[in-house]
Amino acid sequence: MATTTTETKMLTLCTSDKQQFQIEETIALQAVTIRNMVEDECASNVIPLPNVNSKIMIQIIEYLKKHVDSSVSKEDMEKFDSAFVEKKLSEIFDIILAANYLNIKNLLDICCQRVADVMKNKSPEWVRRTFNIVNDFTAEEEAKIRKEHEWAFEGVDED
Amino acid sequence: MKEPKGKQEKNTKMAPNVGARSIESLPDSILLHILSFLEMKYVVRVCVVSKRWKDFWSSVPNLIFSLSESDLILEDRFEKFMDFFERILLLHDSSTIQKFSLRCARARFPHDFNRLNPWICAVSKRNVEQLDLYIFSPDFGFPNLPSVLFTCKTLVELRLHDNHVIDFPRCTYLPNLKTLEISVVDPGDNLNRRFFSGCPVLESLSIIAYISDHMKVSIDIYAPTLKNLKTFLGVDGRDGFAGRDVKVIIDAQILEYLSIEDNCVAGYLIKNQSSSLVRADINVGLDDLWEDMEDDAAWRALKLFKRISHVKHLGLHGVTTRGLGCIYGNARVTFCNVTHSYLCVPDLPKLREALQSMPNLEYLAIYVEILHVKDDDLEADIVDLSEEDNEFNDVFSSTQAHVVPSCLLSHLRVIKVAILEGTNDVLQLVKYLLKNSEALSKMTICLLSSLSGEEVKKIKRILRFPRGGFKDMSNKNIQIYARFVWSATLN
Repeated sequence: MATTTTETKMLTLCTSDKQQFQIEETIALQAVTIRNMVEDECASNVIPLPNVNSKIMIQIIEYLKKHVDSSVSKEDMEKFDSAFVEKKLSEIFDIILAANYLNIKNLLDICCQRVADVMKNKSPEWVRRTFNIVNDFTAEEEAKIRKEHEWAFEGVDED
Repeated sequence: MKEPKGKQEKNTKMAPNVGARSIESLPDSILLHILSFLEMKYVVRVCVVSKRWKDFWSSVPNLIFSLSESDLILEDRFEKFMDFFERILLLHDSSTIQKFSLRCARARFPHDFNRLNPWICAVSKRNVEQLDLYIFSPDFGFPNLPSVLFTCKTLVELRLHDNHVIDFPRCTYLPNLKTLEISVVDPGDNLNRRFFSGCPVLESLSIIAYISDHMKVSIDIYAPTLKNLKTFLGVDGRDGFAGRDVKVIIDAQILEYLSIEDNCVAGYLIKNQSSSLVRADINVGLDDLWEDMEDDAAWRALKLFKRISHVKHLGLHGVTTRGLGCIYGNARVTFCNVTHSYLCVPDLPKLREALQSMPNLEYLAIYVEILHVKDDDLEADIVDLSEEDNEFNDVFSSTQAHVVPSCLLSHLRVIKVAILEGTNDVLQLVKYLLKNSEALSKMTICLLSSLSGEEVKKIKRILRFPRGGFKDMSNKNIQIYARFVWSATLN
């Protein structure tokens, strides 16, 4: 946890599991939801974030700390982003929900892009297995849809 | 409370809802956002995974289509694609399309595109914000790109690549357009003031123009809100004085970044030049153009340099630095404010010329072009010279007055050098910099190609070169990276 200095203004974020995070205001304000709360002055000293747990918050702070640093070059930032999303899918889903709630657009985008990349050019069967999606179509229903969109099912990557 | 044993091994006390979250727990809006990053083909494919996913394709906000080379070989492949494409556009139920993108490797017949055209019209009426067309059609062009595109009120980004022959509209009205990228063959004078005045909030503009031999081109950019501008002009055929027939007028009062590239040294006229311009990258001319005394390429280049002389970051790419020598014969340009520079140079004399024009340079990145075949006879000299260092300077004092560029004496702190080979030209250049840079605190050498052990050894002699600047004589200030990924960005 960061220590308060005389110049930098700090904010305290309280996660769903009642953990408190003290971070510099400039870092926290990248999240539009937090910015709105601070601007509307409806936030007291402690900002409650009931939809984010501490495990995810740690990762989001890591992301925000990097992105507030304007001296990082565009290439280095892209490198950081692509390394940041190298996580288990279940963790990515948690970050997506938190980024959506906190309204951090770029974080939401890079995580959604990561999920999209996993699906790219894969067969529906592979997507079901990888994402634990239960197929509730009958064989006939599925065949009918496939026929409607014939072109889309050509050239699938091997699983 | 007892945790269920098995797949959850993490401590869930801190966050009871963690577990292994599945994609099915995400709301539809987020699933649509995920799908909006995928090509339509893949979006449609995942619609058969389950009933929940069945209709997502019809409301995904981005419509991205791509047609590869192999899709165009057989007639029925193209027909199948068109059936798919038309069906999606007909049945897509959102009244707003955020992004429409169509990539087409190559068309065989103009009529392929005649079938696409009405659809592009239809899309432009669906409140589209971003429209990207990458249609490669070298021979006959993309016929009659619908002029309705140029009056689409909702467009924020418009990209038209590659090599379009565009029927320019009589008038443009793109009141929300912030980004325009256009790639066009023989634009004539169609990219004129009237065209740009229809884009009142334009912030970023990129023009790629391919120009046939002996065609005249005049581009007149009037854009009071423009911040980034890139132009690339490629003139076909090098006979004649193409640069005299190609004119670019830039009137952009708050421009911050300018990138200019051509192979003819076109005539650039920058009006209303203001202090807002901080970065410029220039890559003009061809090697032999600078030696052609009949052409006035050097004068055109000088006019351009004078207009951008107040920038802070300046990149001189390709053979641009070779033009500086021609200019200096007549008049001098000084880039007073340049603190960061990227220079592509063939040898030390050209580097010195460039450095002399940048008295306040602090950060320098150099890419040394290899022009000559490596001269092994001189190799012995290098070894000697690393101990006795005066001879190098003698080589140059015979050809021109030896004045150390003032930035080396006072300002230049960080140097990055990218090296393809360890030729004597390169080593001379590095040696000169080390000896004369009195304010230097760091030098980085990046080896771009994988060199043999012998060559690397030769380059490592750099570490023994005498140094004018470093107080600390250890080698921690000089770093040599093998196979370093070179980037022109300085920081």
